[in-house]
Amino acid sequence: MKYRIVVDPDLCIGAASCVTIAPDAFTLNTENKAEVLDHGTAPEGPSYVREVELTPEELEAVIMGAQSCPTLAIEVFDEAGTRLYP
Amino acid sequence: MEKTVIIIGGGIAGVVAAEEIRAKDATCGIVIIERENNPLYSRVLLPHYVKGVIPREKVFLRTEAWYAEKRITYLSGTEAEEISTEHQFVRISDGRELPYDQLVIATGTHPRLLLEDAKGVHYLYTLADADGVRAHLDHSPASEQTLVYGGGFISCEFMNVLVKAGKKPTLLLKGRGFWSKILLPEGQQVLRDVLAEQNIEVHENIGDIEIQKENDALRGVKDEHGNGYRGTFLGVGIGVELETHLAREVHMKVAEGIIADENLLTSAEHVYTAGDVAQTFDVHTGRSRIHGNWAHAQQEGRKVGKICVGESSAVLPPSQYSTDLLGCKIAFIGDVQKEAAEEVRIVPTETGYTQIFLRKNVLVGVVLLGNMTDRMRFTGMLGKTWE
Repeated sequence: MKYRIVVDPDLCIGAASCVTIAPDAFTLNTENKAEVLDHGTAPEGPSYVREVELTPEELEAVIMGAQSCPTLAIEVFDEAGTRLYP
Repeated sequence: MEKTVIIIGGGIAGVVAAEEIRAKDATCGIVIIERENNPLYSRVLLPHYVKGVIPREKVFLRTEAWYAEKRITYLSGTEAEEISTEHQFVRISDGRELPYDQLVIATGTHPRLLLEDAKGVHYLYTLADADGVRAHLDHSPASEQTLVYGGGFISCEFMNVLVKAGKKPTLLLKGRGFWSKILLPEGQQVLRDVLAEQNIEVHENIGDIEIQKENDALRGVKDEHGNGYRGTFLGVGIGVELETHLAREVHMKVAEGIIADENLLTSAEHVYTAGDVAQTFDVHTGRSRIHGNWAHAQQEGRKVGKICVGESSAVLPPSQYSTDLLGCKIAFIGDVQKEAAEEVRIVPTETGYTQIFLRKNVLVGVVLLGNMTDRMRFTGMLGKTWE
C-alpha cells in the first residue's frame, strides 16, 4: 500500500530521532532538516514529501520515526488521505 | 491480582513507558505521578510556541482523555515525596502510600534557578514558563531592553526568541563563551562571530549575577565585578539539575544520574529508571553517562516499558541533539564532554566547524557548527576507530 510522508521543515529542528529509528525513510540534509526517502533512496531528488509503497512492518517503522519527532514535524497519510499520524 | 507499575514523572520517558506497558499488558495497573498539571507536552516545541510558529494547543502530545482511554491513572499536580524500596510503595503529596510491583523513576531534571526572582525574570523549561515569556513579549514595548544569562541550549533559544521578537538582547555569560565544557576556544569563537555579525552585545566571565529590582519588577542585573546591565526582561538558561533526590534518600546507587544497568534496572530491586535522570552505559561511546535529550528519553521510555512486561529491547541508537543560534546550526552527536575524552581536536573541513572527541582512538563524540553536510557521515562513524 502507498503512504504519503510529509516533513514540515519549519518545525523540524534536526533532532534526528526519525533518522535513527527509520533510516530507510528519513535522512538529514545540509540544512539540518529531515527529508523523506523511498527505501533509502531519493528518486527525482531530495524532498520533504514523498509517496512510498510500504509493507506493514515498514509503515510501523515510519510511524515510530514520526512519533519520535519532538516537534511533531512528520505527518503520515494513507492512500485515501486519512491521517495516520499525528 | 494484577501487578501495578508506578511511574514517577509524566514527561516523555514516563508517558511512553506507560504506553508501551499498556500495549503489551491490557490489564495491569499503571499509575503516573506528575508534578505539573498538564497532559504530556513537548518541551522542545516551547520555543516554537513562544515565537508564534505554532499555537499553544500544538505543544500537547497527549490529551487528558488519552490517559483514561489507556486506563492509566494520571495523578497530575502530585508530588512523589518518598519511596520505600523495602516495602515497595510511593508516598505522594496527599499523604497516600501507593504500593507498586515495579517502579520506574523518570523524574528528569529541573532548571537551575537564580537565588532571587522578580517580574521580568524568565526561564524556558515548563509550559507555564513559555506562557510567561509569551505574555511578556506580547506586551513588550519596542524599545524594551532585554538580557539573556547563560551559555547553553536554553540561552540560544532565548536569543532566537528575542531576536525574532525584534529585540537586541545583551548576552551575559558566566564564564568564557558558549558550552565551555564542550567546545574548544575555536568553536566558541565561531559562535562569538555569529553574535558579532548581528551586533549582539556580549559580556563574558561575569560570574554570578544579582537581580536589581524596583517594586518587585526587574530593572537590571549586577555582575560579580560590580558592573551593571539594564534590562526589564531577563532570560535565564544556566543548566539543569537532575531529580535524583528520591533515589538518594533510599541509598540507591546514584552518580551524576541514577545508575542503571543495560535493562534500566537500578541498584534497587524492581526499580527502573529512564530518561534524563538515568545514567546508563552507552555502548556507542564506551562510558556510563546521562544523555539529556528528548529523543533519547523517549526511546528509553519505550525500552523500560518493554522490560517491565518481560520483553527484551535492542540497544538504543547514539544520542544526538541539535539547535541553532541566530541561524548558525549546532549539532552534538554522542559523548561531547571534553573532560571525558582523551583527545579533542578540530577536523579541517571546507566549510563550518567540526570538533571530534576520541577515547582510545575511537570516535565517541562530534560537534558540528554551521555546516551540517557531514552530520550523517559522522553519526555513522560513532564508536569506530578514527583513521
